[in-house]
Amino acid sequence: MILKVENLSKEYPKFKLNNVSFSINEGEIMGLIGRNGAGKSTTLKAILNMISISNGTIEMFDKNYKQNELYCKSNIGVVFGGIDYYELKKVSTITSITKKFYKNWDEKLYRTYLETFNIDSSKRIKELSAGMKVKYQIAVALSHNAKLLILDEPTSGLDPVSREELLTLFMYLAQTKKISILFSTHITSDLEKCANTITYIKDGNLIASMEKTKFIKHFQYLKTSPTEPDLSLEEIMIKNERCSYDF
Amino acid sequence: MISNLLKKDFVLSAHPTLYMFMIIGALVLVPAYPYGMVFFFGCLGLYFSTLNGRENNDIFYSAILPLDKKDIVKGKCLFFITFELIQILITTLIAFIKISFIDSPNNDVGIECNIAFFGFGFIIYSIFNYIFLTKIYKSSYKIGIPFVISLIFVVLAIILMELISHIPYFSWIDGIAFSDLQKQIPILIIGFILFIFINILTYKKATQNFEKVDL
Repeated sequence: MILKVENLSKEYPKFKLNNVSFSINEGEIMGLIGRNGAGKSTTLKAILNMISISNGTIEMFDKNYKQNELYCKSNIGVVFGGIDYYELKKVSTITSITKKFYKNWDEKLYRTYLETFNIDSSKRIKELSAGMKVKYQIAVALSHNAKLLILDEPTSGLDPVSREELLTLFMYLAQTKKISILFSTHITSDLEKCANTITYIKDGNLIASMEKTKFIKHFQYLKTSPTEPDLSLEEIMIKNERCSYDF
Repeated sequence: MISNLLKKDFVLSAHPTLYMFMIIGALVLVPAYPYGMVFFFGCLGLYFSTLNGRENNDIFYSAILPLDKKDIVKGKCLFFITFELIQILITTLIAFIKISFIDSPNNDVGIECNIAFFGFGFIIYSIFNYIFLTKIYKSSYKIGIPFVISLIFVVLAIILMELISHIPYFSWIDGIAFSDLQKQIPILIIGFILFIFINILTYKKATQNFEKVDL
């Protein structure tokens, strides 16, 4: 098992992440969906020990994450949207520092990925496009042989071509390199294309975590009439989340 | 690991003024000047660098590296200590040159750049590190108020150091004669011992605070 999250809970004064559980196998792409503020980023931060949790356990690579944080972090790649750190520094400068922290850094592989993704390392971070920023972080993750990628809204704000390129890359990494990907998004069409499993969080509660086709089938009960065509992931989410306002 | 942590801070988060303040010890060449300002500028440089780190999301960058929260705090503490030791070392060399080769009158403004001055310097930096670092790791983003609070204590310590040299009973603290320098050695030793212990305490307390912080 690459990642096993059990009964993950986190209490804030006005929000509660409640007993979220799911697991990811090798080479699996899991889509973590939910509307803005549902608890997706909280879940990812809790997994990475960036926030303290009220309850629950996280096992990564069959080891307790908290007790083996450095080992686990050495074997994962984390992409939280674009890069919003040290934007005025050059790509080469950031990499020269980052790589020192990874024992299994492969410089040759890094150069190959930079070339493949067409990233100019002499550019400053802020000069990279949003898609390039995500690709740079993936290049860094792959250069230290990450077995799991944790991505928070990696495709948000990208143009359709860049999104398509990234999704193709994710599928390639999962199928060919057997890299597992946990991918939070509210752009459900991205998941229709590349995810194997879907975990759905609503208001901090886990609604479902299952294989994509089963997930879609499970929620067909939301159809308003039997003649209505099968609901897509987006329609399932909208029907679950819809609320009305009295003005 | 330690060298990587230091390199990260000196290459990425250090503000350019930090390097300028590293050699600000040259102020001891000014014949009449409150030399305690050397330590004040040192604190200012560390504040600018911490601010630069915050504006560039250094905590987030560090949090996704193979580091735990303890390492993040350790890196910052070592960054502060390394800068302070380098600055004190450079100032010592300049002071040595001044006392040995430049014939200048005694500093009428405040304390002379002698052994006691460096002992007080260690104490001033200990005060700054403890208040500033333990307070910033209570939130990871509130930096202004911790700096103001730490600066109040730093300035009071500097004023005390500068005033003490004007009290006739403590005139030996202001002296650069060999007999005065000999008397001042305990101040340097006590200052350095305090610097070591308070920095260990700072690291422990800041780590405890940071463990409770949600990023």
